[in-house]
Amino acid sequence: MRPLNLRPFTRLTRIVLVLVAGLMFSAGAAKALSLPAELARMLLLAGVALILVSTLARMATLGLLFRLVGNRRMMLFSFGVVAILITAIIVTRTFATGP
Amino acid sequence: MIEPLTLFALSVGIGVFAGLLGLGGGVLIIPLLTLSYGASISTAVAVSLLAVIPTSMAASTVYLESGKIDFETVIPMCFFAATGGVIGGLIAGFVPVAWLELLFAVILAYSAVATLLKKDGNGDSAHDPNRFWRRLKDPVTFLAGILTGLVGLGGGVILIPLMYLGLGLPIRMAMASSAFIVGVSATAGATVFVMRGGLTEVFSFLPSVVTGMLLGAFLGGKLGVRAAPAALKALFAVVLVYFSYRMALTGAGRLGWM
Repeated sequence: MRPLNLRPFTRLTRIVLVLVAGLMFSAGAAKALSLPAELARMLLLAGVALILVSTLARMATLGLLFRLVGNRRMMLFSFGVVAILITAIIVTRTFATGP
Repeated sequence: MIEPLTLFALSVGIGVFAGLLGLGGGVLIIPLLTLSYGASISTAVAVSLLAVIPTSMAASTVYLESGKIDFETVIPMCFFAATGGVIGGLIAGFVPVAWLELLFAVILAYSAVATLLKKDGNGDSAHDPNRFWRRLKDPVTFLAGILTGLVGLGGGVILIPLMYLGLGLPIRMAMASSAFIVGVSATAGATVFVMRGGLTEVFSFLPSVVTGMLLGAFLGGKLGVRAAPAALKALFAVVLVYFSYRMALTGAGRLGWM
């Protein structure tokens, strides 16, 4: 089995972190500067969506990296996490009522 | 009244602590938001879960680059923690968690003593995994995930003793691996919370908490790579005792014993 090249994974993580920090900081600044509340809300929504999607993207990337090095077991577990998270979204949207 | 800068500064401190020990930080952020900022418990849990994800990413990236994460152990655990997190999030509010909290309070108290008493030199060397715990690894991870989804805390404090005491990983590697896993199980719990809606109150805390904890976790990860394993062990044992006390207290409170 070839060694795992984690560079794409760490690079993706760093990009996501910078974007999340930027969105959250901008939302905080928009509130502090009394900019339209809708702007702050949109920035926060984008930040939350990015936070949630980032784990899906990271685990999918790991799955692909494991596939490249031929580690089938780890690939299946990585994609399994992605499948579980997507199932959670579908189940909650379909069945869950309000808080 | 929410003071964003104070909350940001406190979140940096919590992030350092969480990144250093490989925890989510929920045990500190939830009481902070409910007691000092008047947030409801469901809001505090949702903020905690959403903040844990970037915190985990920041800390685990530092650990990953220093080769402290054992993927062969971590990835299957991520799967079971995520499954537990989703189920925990879905059944939150429908099941009594008091007995689960009391059970984990006893386990954590035992883990604190076992962590301190474990003789492994400087704590930075791997040991043969205990066969019993190797078999129970996946069910315990699943239960830890459920607890995370139910009450927004408990992932790291259960996973680190499991990996250190049961699976024989060095303490630093156990903490680094836990930092990775808690992000995945928190995503599962947070997804359920977010899809249920009602984020208005969450939004008032999120910018300060997320940016603060993210920055803190990055610094905590850097510290964790350099810290002496014996010091990490001692600090972690203190955290376990505190978690055990807190879980026993809330569990007993829910059962009306206190």
